[in-house]
Amino acid sequence: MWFFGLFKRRRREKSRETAYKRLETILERRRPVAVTEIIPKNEFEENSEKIKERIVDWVSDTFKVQKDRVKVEFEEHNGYIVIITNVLFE
Amino acid sequence: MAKVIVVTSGKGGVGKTTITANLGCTLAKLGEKVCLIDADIGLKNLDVVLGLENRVVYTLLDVVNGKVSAQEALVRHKQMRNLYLLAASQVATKEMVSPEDMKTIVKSLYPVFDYILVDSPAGIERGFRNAVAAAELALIVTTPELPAISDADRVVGLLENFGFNDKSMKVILNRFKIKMVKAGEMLTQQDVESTLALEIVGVVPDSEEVIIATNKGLPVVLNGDMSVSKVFENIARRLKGETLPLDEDISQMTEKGFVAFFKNLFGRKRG
Repeated sequence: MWFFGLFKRRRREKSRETAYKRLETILERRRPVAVTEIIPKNEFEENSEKIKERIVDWVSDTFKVQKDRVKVEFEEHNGYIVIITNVLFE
Repeated sequence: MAKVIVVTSGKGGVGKTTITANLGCTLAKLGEKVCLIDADIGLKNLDVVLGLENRVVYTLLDVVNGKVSAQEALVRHKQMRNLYLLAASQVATKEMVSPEDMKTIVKSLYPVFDYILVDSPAGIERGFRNAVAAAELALIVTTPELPAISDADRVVGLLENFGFNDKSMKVILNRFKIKMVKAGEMLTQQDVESTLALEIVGVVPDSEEVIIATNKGLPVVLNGDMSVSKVFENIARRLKGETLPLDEDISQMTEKGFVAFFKNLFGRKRG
């Protein structure tokens, strides 16, 4: 049977199919993230320090770095809070 | 009152200027009074495509600086007497013009023309913002290639921020190769339409006639391939509100008849 397999033509994926899949992936990354829950501004402000501490703890544990080497900042962009985390690795 | 249309893309080299020139000529052929504005300051080309480079005396920058009025700076086309060009300056930079300047210029031309087409520069910076500032409709030009479609999608997002919506944004698919599409080696118009989620208002074939026409300084619709001219006529009619199926553009690319049969049989290519 393997002999016949030698003559069997493999279906080559057309470049249009590859292009379409790649295009979908490229554009999907740009699509806005679905917002499932909105946290009121005052609630966020009251707990911001706690959130920062939790992030520092998690990053410190995950990357095995000292807590003072992790810096967390919040910035507002178009009504969203962007969490910027800097880790200073040795 | 004129309808103001910006021809934009994001990616450079997809054919914005060629489409602006040809669409302008076609609308003029259909009896409309048309003004083309080259907003690609510093890298202007619209005058070259139209064959008017030796006739330009005043530019957009002269209008912005108050040297002349917008109407005084216009250059009339040699053949199409109801087609005018407001050329861009070669030596200036895009930062010398603001979106407010553009709005003022377009406003002064509003009552005189039926259509004002603004040729946008590539990119998403100041030049792009100048070009879209006064437009009510955006024609996004793309080729059926990934980088061009990806940039077109980015431009769609930016245009939405400027207040455009899916009614005021339309796509022109340029350099479409029907043979490659049939062979499964090029994205189809349906692929582009579904990924960009916008209406395609025209499918322009890839044509050597465009290069020949640019060499002559005559837009292809005035001197060249009849199938390309027909596609531009279809686009112009769609912009005027007529309902024409896209298949009419595609069918222009498929050679039919006795001659085509023998061409295919012996594998001879035109040109």
